[in-house]
Amino acid sequence: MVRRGSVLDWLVVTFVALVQILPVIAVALNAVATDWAGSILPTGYTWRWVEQLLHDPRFTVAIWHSLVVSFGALVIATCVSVPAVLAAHCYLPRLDRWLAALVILPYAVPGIVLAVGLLRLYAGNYGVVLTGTPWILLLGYVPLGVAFFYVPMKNNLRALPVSEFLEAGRILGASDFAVLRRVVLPCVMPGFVVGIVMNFSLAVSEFVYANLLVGGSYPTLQILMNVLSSGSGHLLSVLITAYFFIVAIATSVLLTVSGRQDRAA
Amino acid sequence: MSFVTLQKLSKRFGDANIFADIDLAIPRGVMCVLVGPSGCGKTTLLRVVAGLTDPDSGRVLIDGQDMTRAPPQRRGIGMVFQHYALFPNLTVAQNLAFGLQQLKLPREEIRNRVRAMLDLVGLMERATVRPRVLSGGQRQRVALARALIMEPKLLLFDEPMSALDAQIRKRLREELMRLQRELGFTGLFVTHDQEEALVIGDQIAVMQEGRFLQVGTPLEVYNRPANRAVARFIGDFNVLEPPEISRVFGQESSAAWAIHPEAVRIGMDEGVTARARILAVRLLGSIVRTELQVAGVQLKCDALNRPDAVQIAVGTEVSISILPQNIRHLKD
Repeated sequence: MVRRGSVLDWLVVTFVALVQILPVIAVALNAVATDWAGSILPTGYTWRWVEQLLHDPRFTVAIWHSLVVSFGALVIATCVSVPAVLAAHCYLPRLDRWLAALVILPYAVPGIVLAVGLLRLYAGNYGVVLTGTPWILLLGYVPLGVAFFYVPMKNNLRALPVSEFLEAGRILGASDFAVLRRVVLPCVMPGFVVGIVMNFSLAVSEFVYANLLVGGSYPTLQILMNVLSSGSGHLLSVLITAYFFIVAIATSVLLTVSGRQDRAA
Repeated sequence: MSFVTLQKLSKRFGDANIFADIDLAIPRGVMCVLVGPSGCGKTTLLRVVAGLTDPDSGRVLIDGQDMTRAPPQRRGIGMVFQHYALFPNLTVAQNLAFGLQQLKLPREEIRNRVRAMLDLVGLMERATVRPRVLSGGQRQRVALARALIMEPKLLLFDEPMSALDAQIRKRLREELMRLQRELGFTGLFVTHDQEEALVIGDQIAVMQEGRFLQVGTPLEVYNRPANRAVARFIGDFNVLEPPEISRVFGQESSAAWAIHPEAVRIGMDEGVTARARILAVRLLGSIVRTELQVAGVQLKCDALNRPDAVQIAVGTEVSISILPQNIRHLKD
């Protein structure tokens, strides 16, 4: 029988939860505060900042841009990474070691270097001009996102006798694709879901690439945050709170959809 | 005419010769057991028959058709894997239905066949659970049912009971033999357990270092081993070389002798005889095994564990005898 938590256990866990959530609560309070200086809580509350931001056309544009880039990068990263992870694990175990090193490469290079590389790559030197368009940002996020699929899915795959599943499937008259779709992919669904959430969170919250690659020509939420950071702190708080909501809602939707697929499988 | 024919099959992995010029013929409805020590090539041979590994040369004929290069999907075979290879995300019933769904059979037919197979292997009440909640024995029954439901021409077993404990192995063996009697399928069963081979097999092929040492019925292989290796591996024989025969029994022989432990009798003086000292007495269930030493040679003697039998103390000197008809002369 599991021992019930003591008062000390509860205190420790509650303390950590508070440390995590307090900044978010503080930002949310500042978004609706008339004035907040020198006191534990704001001296008054107002919806003025919220209304002001909601009526700012830059806000809706930034949300739309962020969602387009995040979901776009997610779709491309999924289409590229998932088959590659499965193929390397199942059929090319020797290449898999190289893939493991390759997926973390974008994190070994400073973001600014990669951004300059992407600008040179898509500035027409190779016949493709994407600078200033959301496509360059989208394609910039894809290599960053591959690691988020590779690591958790690979952990799931390691625990599975995939070769045996494929062989059992072949003997039962199934193609490898059928076994991968009906057996292997549902078994690695937890890793896949982690990959989706991590990819989305990365793309929606990323600033360095967005600023260097598209900047003001395709402003995302992070770019708008940067612009507002030099002005009213209340407006910035509203924007950050809205950002939290968007991430929370999008993540919940992704988790629900992926969870349904997992159960259906 | 045989149902499965292996002709001059050879396979190498790099420098390692797994088997060379293997020939085997399995009649229809027969359970053939490939038995041999680990690493002798039996699993690779099974995989070649399954189409999971390509042979370097030779032919695999199943029901008269050359299947040497055919993919596993086209061979009409079923296979039970050592570690079951059940699909963990599917229920027991879904595992059974998986192969039938690939044939695009009507749903109603799939449902009926799954139900009938679950009934046959006694797993009806476990139809909706996932494999992880099943015991090892139940998982192996699901694996067997998943193979049988496809009504394969040939059923392959890759050491399917090696991961199970002795009691469950015994029960599953009996169940497998019942199913084979009822359904009459042809089987190729790989094991390193000689007792399992003798119980399950209608035909036994003893394999060592990539070649067959002997192929025959269990009685032939057990009673008339072709050579020393078979005698040592299958029957747990006492194998005595000519100099040892001379020392122990005072007789000259150009061939080695193979003597079953149960053919060595203590306290009798019929046939060839000797004086032996008892080294140890061990109980193997219904059998009592006595280890003896004669002129520096160790012999095993098995006798029924009768409740009224007199216990002989370790270290006692006894006379032993073997009837001449129970001595198998080995040239190889």
